[in-house]
Amino acid sequence: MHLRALVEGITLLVFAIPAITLVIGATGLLLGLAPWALGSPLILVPFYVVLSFAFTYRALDAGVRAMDLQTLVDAAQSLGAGWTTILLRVILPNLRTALLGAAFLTITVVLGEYVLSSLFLYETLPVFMAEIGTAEAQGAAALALLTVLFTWGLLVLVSFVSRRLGGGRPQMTVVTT
Amino acid sequence: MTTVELRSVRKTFGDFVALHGLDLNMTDGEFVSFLGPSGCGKTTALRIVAGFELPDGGSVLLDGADIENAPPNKRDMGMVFQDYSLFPNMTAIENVAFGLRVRGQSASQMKETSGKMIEMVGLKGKEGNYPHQMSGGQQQRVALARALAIQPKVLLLDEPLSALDAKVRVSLRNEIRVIQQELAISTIFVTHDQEEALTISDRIAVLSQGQLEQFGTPEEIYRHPATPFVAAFVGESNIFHGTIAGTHDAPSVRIGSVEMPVQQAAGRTSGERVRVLTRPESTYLHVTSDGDRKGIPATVVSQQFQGARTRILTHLDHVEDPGAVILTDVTGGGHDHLSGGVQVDVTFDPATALVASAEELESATVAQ
Repeated sequence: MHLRALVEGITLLVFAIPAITLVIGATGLLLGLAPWALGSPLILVPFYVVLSFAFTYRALDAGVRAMDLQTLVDAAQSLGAGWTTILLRVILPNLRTALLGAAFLTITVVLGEYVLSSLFLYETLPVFMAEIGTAEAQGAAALALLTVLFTWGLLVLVSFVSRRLGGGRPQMTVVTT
Repeated sequence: MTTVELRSVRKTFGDFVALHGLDLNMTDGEFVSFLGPSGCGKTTALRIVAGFELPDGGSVLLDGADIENAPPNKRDMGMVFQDYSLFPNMTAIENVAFGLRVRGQSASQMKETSGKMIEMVGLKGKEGNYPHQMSGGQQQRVALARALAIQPKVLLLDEPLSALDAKVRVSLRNEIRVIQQELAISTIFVTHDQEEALTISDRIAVLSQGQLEQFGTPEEIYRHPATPFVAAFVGESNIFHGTIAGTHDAPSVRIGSVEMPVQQAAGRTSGERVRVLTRPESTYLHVTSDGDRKGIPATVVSQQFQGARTRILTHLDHVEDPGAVILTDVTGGGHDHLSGGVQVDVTFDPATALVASAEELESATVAQ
């Protein structure tokens, strides 16, 4: 229980610390340790991991709570299963919906992220939309609509896929923040 | 042949002592129940046998070998849990075959064994159902088949019936006993339901506050409770207040003005205030006739018809605890004369009456 509270607290830090602070801190550190990293758009990846942590954690936590993980693990162990078998045959199959939900939430978070990419001077979709919006508002609005449609399509897909994977079982609820 | 032995097993969770040094052994093919109220340590003891908990002291022996260092998946024990714990992503037959697949059996072997097990628990035709498509009783049958499919040395049942409704509970407990006897598999059954334990066990270990109160056959537990806790927890007991009158050759207890013989007054001193516990069916009523006292004077309060038996409630007259209701069970008919207000004398079977101090009885009641 203490660990759960700690992790939940850590996941909320990203909302409490302003992005500019993160970027300045990371840039200062990377300039000293690995200045070459700042020249690649891949520098955004660890920041996106931190940013989506809160969403993925909650999606997976909801999945774990819904399946009574401890008892299932005990049952599998009593039947002779080792940890690899338990992970591959018991935990992951029963977390498929939660994993899919976490993955798609991450995609949508990354699709909409503006501040970090802008501060690192990389032109991601939101940065491009903001830039084009100043000169061509209709184009920016069209792109925004397409993004919304894409996100909606992902949600339909996760619902459809999880239904097919679940053997007709009732769907687990994916909690979003 | 499979024997299980617990030697001085101790377990604490923080400041809470779950087991105070549990000693017991079960023989091959025996059905042993761990019986006790919530928090008595019965599930902890079972989980230590299964390997899910490590004891702080003592040891668990399987066929004479210490298995303390064996992980749960190497102990060769099948376990059924209270809340079914079927794998939701697998059908009934896939659940049953899980342990066989882990053991590397061929597809044909798995199919044959799983099919037999499904049939044995009466679920033929339900092989392709997912857990959510089955009732609680059906799910627990699958869980039982799954645990038995691996042919474990010991079957562990952790309150497997407590989540089921009354009718299913009775039928499934009978099925469990029949299957257990057919397979002659050593079984530990955890329950807080005394009726379940008395009905299907070869022997019962009654636990209270982490200690073994008594380990014996259902009849021994019921008819000859070793401690006030067992007498109070298993079945119903009448409680008579009295003082020790005779101690050596003719032990007896004075209840009110009447001296009643008992057999278990060893270690007591004359004049010591005690409680005498008796079972309703070992307590007798005699209609009073003038000048011919046979027991403790009492007045009938009411009768309760309970089918095969009739329960008669009486109040004791002129004794230390006049408000106490004494229960007497009589069988057959012809008890109309024992109606409310009738004066009777109460006696009990000295061989089955348990003598305890007030403190012992109080601590037994608190433990429940």
